[in-house]
Order: sequence, then C-alpha cells, then structure tokens
Amino acid sequence: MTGSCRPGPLPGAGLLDDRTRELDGCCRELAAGFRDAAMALDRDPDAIAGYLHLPGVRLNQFAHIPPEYRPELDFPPRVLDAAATSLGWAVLWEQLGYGDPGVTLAGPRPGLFGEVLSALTGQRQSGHYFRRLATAPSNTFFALTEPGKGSAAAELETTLAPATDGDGWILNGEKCYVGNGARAAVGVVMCRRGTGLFGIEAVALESGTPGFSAELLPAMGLRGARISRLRFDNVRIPRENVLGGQLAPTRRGLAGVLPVLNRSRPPVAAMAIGCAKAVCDYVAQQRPTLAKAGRLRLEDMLDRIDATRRLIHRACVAIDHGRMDSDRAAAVKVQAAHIAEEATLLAAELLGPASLIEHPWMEKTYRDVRAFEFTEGTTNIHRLSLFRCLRKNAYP
Amino acid sequence: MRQDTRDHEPALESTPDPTPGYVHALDALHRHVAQGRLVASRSGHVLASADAIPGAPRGPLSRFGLAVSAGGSVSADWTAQAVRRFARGLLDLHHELLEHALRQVMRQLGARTSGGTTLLAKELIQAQLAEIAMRLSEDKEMLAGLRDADPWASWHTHLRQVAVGRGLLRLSGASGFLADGLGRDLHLAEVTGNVYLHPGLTSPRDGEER
Repeated sequence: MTGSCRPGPLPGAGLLDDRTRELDGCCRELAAGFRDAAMALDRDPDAIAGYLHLPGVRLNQFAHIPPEYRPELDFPPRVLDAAATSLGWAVLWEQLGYGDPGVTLAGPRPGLFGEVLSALTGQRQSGHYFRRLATAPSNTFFALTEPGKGSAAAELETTLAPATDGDGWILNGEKCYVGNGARAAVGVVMCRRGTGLFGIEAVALESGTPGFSAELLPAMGLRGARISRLRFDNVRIPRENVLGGQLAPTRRGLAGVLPVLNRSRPPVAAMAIGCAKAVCDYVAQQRPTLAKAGRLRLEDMLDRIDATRRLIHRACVAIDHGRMDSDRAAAVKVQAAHIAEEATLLAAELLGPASLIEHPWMEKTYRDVRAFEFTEGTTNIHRLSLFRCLRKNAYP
Repeated sequence: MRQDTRDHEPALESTPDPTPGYVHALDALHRHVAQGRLVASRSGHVLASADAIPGAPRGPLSRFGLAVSAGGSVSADWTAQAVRRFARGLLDLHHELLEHALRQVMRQLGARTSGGTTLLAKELIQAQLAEIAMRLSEDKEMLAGLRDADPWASWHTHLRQVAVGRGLLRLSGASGFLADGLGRDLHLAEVTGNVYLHPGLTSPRDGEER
C-alpha cells in the first residue's frame, strides 16, 4: 500500500476535531507497518509476539488505559486522549483496520474487559487491573456468547452460585467465540446468579484459576482475534471479583455492560470500513487502468464507505456527548460489515481471474471481513432492534 | 453430480459427495473430466487436494486442504472441451454444496434457542431460508439452460451461487466462520470459481472491459 492511494484526511470525516485529525494522521502512518505482520498472523496468530514493538500495536495497547496508569510513551498526550473517546476509537480502528484487523485485535490491550471495569468498578478495583495491564501487557477477554444461544445475551446459562463453604462464588458453564479467550491473562465472564436480566453478573476471571480451561477455535480468518471456547468447571470466584458489587442490580451485570457493548459497535464498524477502503485502494493500485465500468463500481463502493464513515462518526459523537443511541450504533455495524464483504467480492472480481491465488493478502482479507457479520451481534439481531426504532419513527 | 442431458458430452457418472469436504469432490471432478489428469485454469493454475498435487508448495489455502500449483498446462486437443465440462461440473458441485449447506443450517437453527423457541421457528429466519431456497431452485433450473453457454454465463451463475452461500453463512452466525465445516467448503468453492470460472476482464459479448 502506498501513501498515494490515501491522499489527505478521511473523506466524510467532517466531525473530527483538531486532535482527532492529528490522531487520524498518526494512525495512518502507523498502520502501514501492519501489512507484513498480517500475513504472518494468518499463518500463526501467536506470531503477534514478534510484532509487539510496532508503534500501531503500542498505541492500540495504551489508548484505553487511563492516563494515570500509562507509562511514558512516544505519542503526543493529545493523540492518546483523542483515542480514548468514542470518535477517536473509531478513527484509530479504521486506520489500524486498514493496515490489518487481525494485528489490531491480536495485540495486548484492555479491550472490553477494560471498558467493563471502567463502567462497573471503582477506581481501586479498576486501578489494580489497569496498572497491571500497563506494566505487564497481556490480552484480555470478554465472554458473553454461549453454545446454542448465539446472540441471546439475556438467556445465558453459565451459572454463578454461592460456594458451599461460604468463600466466594462458584462458576460453571461454557462460552464460545470469545476473542483472545485462550491467550488472555484475565477477562470478564457474564454469568447467571439469579433469574431475569438483573440476575446476570459480570465477574473477573484470571486465566490460571483452577477449573478454567480454554481452547482456540479453528477460524476461517481474522486469526489474530484467536476466537476461543472457554469452559468453567467449578471455578472459584473471589467475592471481590464480582464486578460492580457496589451498584444496584439495575446498573451492574448485563444491564451495566449493555452500554459498553453499544459503545464498542461503531469502532468495529470503523474497522470493517477500514478493510473495505484498503481493498478498494489495493485494486486501484494494482489496476491503475481499470476500465470505465469497473472504475464506476469501485467509485460507488468508495462513496458508500464515505457515507458509512459519516454515520459511524455521528454515532460516536452522540456517545461522546452522553447520548447513547444503541440502534444507530448497531445499524452502522451492520452496514459496515456488509460493505466490507461486498468490497472484497468486488475486488476479487475486478482483479481478474485467479486473483484470490495471485493476491494472497486479498484472499486473506476476503476471509477476514466475514467476521464482522457476527462480531458484536449478528445482522438479524440488529435488524430486529432497528425495526423497533423504525416503528417508533426514530429511524432513519 | 447430476445427469447431463444437454449435449453429446458424457454425463458425470457419480455424484461427488460434498459432505466429506469440497476438496474430495473437486478431486473426483478432475478425475472424471480429465481422465486421471488435472484440469488447469486459463490462468494456468491447478486446484486440487495435496494428494493430487504432491509437489504443491504450502500456501494460505493449505490449511483448508486445498493445494495450488501454477504454470500448469494441458494438451491443446482436449483443453477447451475439458475446461468447459470442468466449469459445468464446478457449478454443479457448488449447487450441491449449497443444498447440503441449506439443510445443515436448518438443522443448526433448529437446535439453537432464543426467547423460548428455536431460531428456526422465527419468522425472520424462515423468510430468509425461503428466499435462499427459491434462489437455489432458480439455480437448479438453469442447469438445463444457458447458465454455462459461455464463460460469462458461467461466471454470473457462480456469482449468484456465492451470494446464496453468503446468505447461508450469515444465518450460521459465528459457527459459519469455523474452518472445520461449512464456511471452509463454501470459501473453497468461491476460490475455485475465481480461478476456473472468472472469464477475464473483457466481455466477448460486447467487447467492453469491466
């Protein structure tokens, strides 16, 4: 990928303020280093260990650790501050996704575990984990999905029961399709302590805890995400690891985590359109004399990417201003996932016969982007919530 | 593989079963069409199992059981005919894989529950499955029609099949992304079509480049 394919600021990025523009420019340069790592991770996702020095990996690692726990870094503080906002998170992940989504997800970072800590715990508890993640970088996980349940989060069956000896809690059950679950040092498990939505709790779990086991699942693509299956066989959970214990049931557990999930969707959407933009630029670079019909199809795709970017940014700005619109956040994820898939199909066609053999990066990206369909909820789940919004005359 | 009644070319005698994996069926198609040899694409690539191409280098698709060799060529006397029969066989194979996938996805959705019922009982899901079944039915009818009359017709048939497969994968959720099942076989069918069925970038129908 050359800089000539990506002139100027992001088209459709009119909502960016100065510091977020600076972040965008910074990420644009950093993502270029991801392409070599991308192919290595597709062969072996644990190869990320050899790329932890990449500035893009480091920025992604520390962007969501609160400033008071960060070590001294080479990035301007205002860039790091910008990356911590929802809008900045989307800008960061679009540009890093442009480089490679697998590398972005494989690197150590607090991820949703950190977001849940910030949402549910006080400074003492979150500080303990953030300090640890800053000094001993490691992967984390967020375990919600269960076999046979899919995206029906409120129906999860993993149980949290009081230990018979009175010392904490006992966790039993199974989770699947958990990113980095088999490589993380610590994570959060959503589990059921009682009936109904408010009977669901979030607990912190260390990977070395007896009774906890995890295995990598064989994924078609996006191997850096290292999707995993987790099993909990009478895992003892210390009392203090039930996150948000100081909060009312209506503000902790799944109810407390839902805003975190909503906030995470626009960045995933941004990563998807980063991939879509990358494959479009790749086609333009490989076929500079693309004939009119192909050029028009490519330009149409780029227009759709720009429009989706504006929607993503608008959703992020609303979140940053405390206006959580979960339906719009879900809608942009669905739209971006479709665009990423369509962009790779178009690129494979426009690059000509055997393009999926002669362009290994394209074949990898063609597989990778399919993951955006089910990441952070499937299209069908989001369609239903969007319809409810439509019925209330609140969309589009 | 279904009985071919369109012309004098020999019908495929046995139906490669997609269930043990797309690659096994692809090998069987090579054997049938090329009498024990391997059919090369117009780009010179040969796609088959590692057993069928023992010297093939390892590549990104090796993980899914598909070997690729480049620079292949076959004798001119049977190339055109074999390539055409092979293309038709690939479309048949993709269609059968999709029918198999539809049944498998329905079984999966019947085993997953939400809101006290199976996903298969949801009207949203039912409508999507019905749409896929209709498009498969249309594809099947084209077997006896013009879908592979020329490379462009074959390619467009392939693209429609890809769209059907993607619809099924969306319904599968994350399980369709695992490399030990449906997602793998549908990906290999897409890649194989990209290699053997892509007609190039200039349409013989109107001479216009894509």
